[in-house]
Amino acid sequence: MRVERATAAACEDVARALRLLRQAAEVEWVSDAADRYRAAVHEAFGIVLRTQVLVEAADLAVREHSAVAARAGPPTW
Amino acid sequence: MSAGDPGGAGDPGIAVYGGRGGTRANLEDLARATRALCAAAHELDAAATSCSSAGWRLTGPGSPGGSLARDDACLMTGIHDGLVTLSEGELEVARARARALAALAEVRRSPTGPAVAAAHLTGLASALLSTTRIYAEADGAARLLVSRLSRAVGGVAGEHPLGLLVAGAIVGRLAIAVAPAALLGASVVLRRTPGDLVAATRARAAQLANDALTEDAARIEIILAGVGSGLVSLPPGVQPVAAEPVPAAARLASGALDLDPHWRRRALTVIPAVESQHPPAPRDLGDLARRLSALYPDAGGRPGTIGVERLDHPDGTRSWVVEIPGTQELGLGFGENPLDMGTNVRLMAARPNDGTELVTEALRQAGVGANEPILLLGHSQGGMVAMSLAATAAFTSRYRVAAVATLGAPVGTVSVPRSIQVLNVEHVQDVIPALDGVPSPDEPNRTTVRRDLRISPDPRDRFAGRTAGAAHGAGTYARSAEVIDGVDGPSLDAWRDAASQVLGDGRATVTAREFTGVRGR
Repeated sequence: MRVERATAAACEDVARALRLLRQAAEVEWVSDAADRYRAAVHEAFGIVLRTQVLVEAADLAVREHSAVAARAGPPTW
Repeated sequence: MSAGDPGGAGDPGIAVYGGRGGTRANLEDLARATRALCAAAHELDAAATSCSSAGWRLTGPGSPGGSLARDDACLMTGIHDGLVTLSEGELEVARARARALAALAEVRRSPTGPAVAAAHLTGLASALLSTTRIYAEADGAARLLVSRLSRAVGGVAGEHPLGLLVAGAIVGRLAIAVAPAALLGASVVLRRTPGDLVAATRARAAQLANDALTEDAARIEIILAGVGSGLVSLPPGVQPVAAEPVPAAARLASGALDLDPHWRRRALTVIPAVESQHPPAPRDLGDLARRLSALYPDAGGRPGTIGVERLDHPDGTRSWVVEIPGTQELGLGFGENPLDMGTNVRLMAARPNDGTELVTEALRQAGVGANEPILLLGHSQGGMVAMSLAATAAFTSRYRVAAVATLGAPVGTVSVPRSIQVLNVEHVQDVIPALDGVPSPDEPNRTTVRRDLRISPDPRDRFAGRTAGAAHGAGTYARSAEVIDGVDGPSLDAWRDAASQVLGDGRATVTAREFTGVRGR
């Protein structure tokens, strides 16, 4: 697997995790415990959104590096 | 413990349990949420692994600029000492690579990185799993304990009937010995003659019995579980503990009925009414319940008669409503009317009976198609018939039952497929739904509405709540059905969605027929 493929896969993994978290937040349970659970899932959702920003930034940096390296050709030293 | 939707619009006596909004449905919901959280944690773990792999590949051989990366310190030293000279392009690659490595390092180290987030979600899933278990265990635990205790006491009494008789005799003799002294004391205190007191007590006996039936229906349910357990334990030898003692006792009674030629089942003839009516299309439970109550003989209906309505919708589709009234005779199977106590016993025992045969034959004669959705509505025994049919594989494989509604029926022991939405309506003051010895189960497709008649804004309901007979009446349930039509909530909405497959948008052309069951002599 090339480097950029690994980070692209990581981006897809995080996106899937976010979709699953959205599913996990859809409960119709009515109680104090359910309210706490919903709050915890929303907090987790916020954390994973920040994770997504980090992973996408890494993916972008890796792809930029690959593009620059491809343009530059093999090193001379 | 049941999660529900207490409180109906304008009627404080309404409480909704089970169904889509019930505890069990919600526990299933939570189990699904737990699985989703675990899967999300798994994805984040995979993302963390992919990022580590990317970092390793970026610094390893074969990567773009990989030779640059082999020994950054060495390279930097070489550049510094003037031993290595990089082209502008190579410098650009080195800078891009450094940025990528820094970004990947941030992914690895950050408290919001995928590995940390995965651990967070795993912890949340674990906590949720524990909560779900606690709720599942606590749900109905207290009630289950009392019910089990009642069954255990009943079972012991049934296994030792002689001991029960001796204990009863001792208590009886003590009561007889103490009664004259107590009567004399009470007459002195109340300044009335003992004769007057005995006469007053006899006059109030019916009222006391009525009060017990209307105010203690829930306790009677638990007591009946014990009585049923006792009856099941009566045969010689140690009997296994029945999980559902009332149906088990009913099976014994049904077997006894079959022994006597007078009580044995006889051939049932189902006669269709010659005339058909075209009433307005039913729109809701209230409409259906009013039509059902009109089938009773005291409301002008023919004895032993059920209603079958064909609904032809504007889009060309067809559906059916079946209205089944309750017990009309107290006989044990010797009369012509099949809606009697004999049918009740056989229904409770889940044995072949005239009620289900009447409906099945009526549907055959009416020409109901296999894919045409049916709504079964029954009051009292009719509710037992409706549930029994919905629980019978031979019936549900032949007909498409979309929804069932029961009014004042003891159907807690009947299980129907999850694809069928069931609504059980009970009055708090009605003892009949308690006769099965168990409460209606809390299942995703099973919604129970309990209505306390004593706190209804309608004086007719409050009056009905004072007598056991009126609390069970079809007319009283028809009024409750109208009230329920005004109550919102996920559980009731789920039933309404299923019922709408049959009722449509209220523009159907209705052909109503009646079918009368008559037992042969």
